[in-house]
Amino acid sequence: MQMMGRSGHETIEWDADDAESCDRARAVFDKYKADGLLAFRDDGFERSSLMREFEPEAGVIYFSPQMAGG
Amino acid sequence: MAGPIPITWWTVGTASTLLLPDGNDTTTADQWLSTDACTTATSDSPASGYLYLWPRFYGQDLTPVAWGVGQADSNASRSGASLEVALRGPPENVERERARVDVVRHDREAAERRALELLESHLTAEQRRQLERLRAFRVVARSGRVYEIDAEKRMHNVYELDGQGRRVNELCIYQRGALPLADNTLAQKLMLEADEAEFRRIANHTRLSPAGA
Repeated sequence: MQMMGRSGHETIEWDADDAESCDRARAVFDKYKADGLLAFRDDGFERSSLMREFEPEAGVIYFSPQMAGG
Repeated sequence: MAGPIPITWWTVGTASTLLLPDGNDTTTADQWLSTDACTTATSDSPASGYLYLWPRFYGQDLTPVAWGVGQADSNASRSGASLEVALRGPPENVERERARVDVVRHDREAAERRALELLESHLTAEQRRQLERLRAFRVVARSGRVYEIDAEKRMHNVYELDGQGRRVNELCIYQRGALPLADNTLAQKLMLEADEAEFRRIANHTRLSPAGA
């Protein structure tokens, strides 16, 4: 997971075959979602989707603050 | 003695023309501080930035004496442009703030580099070429609409293109928070790909007249 932040992105990694690391990643995912962040699943170049729940098989997840109209 | 001034995202800048609150021009100041992350600042309404900045300094041991939009670019939403504040105070306080700003600037530049690496890792080879050549790249949404994202601006930087590649609609949408510019660009790209309808719903639209149309 890549969390975009003011000081640059932070990276959190997990192994889909390791339940413990998935649980840790899921807890972080749930916290970010509760904080109102957007979660984008990267499904390859030019293909992304919004996520509501943690999916261990997701390759890369980007978290971003909400978007606003300017 | 006043406590530390909460400067967290300032960079040192210069400006030749600043506006005093009463509208007179001035170039007198001990130090200029500027921000490239103040999304409230636009060329049309620098006062909003001024009002935002003023409480951070007023009553501290450095006094803001002027403000304005940096001369490098009249549009403060463009990367590199800035809303600037002139400070007046004892030399030792100015030096203290200069040192603090230098540290913040160093950290910000490092964050910007990392964010740009993240953005580039997400682009196709063609998009990376576009970014290198034009400082902008194109995104094809699931609807088939083609958009162009200007990577040098934080706002007013996403354009819908027509069949001839002309910009026909400007969509203004930005990432909340003072994040690195490239993170904002990546968020715009991801949102376009993931939920174009929501992107268009949130954004403010401005119809453009293609040159030669």
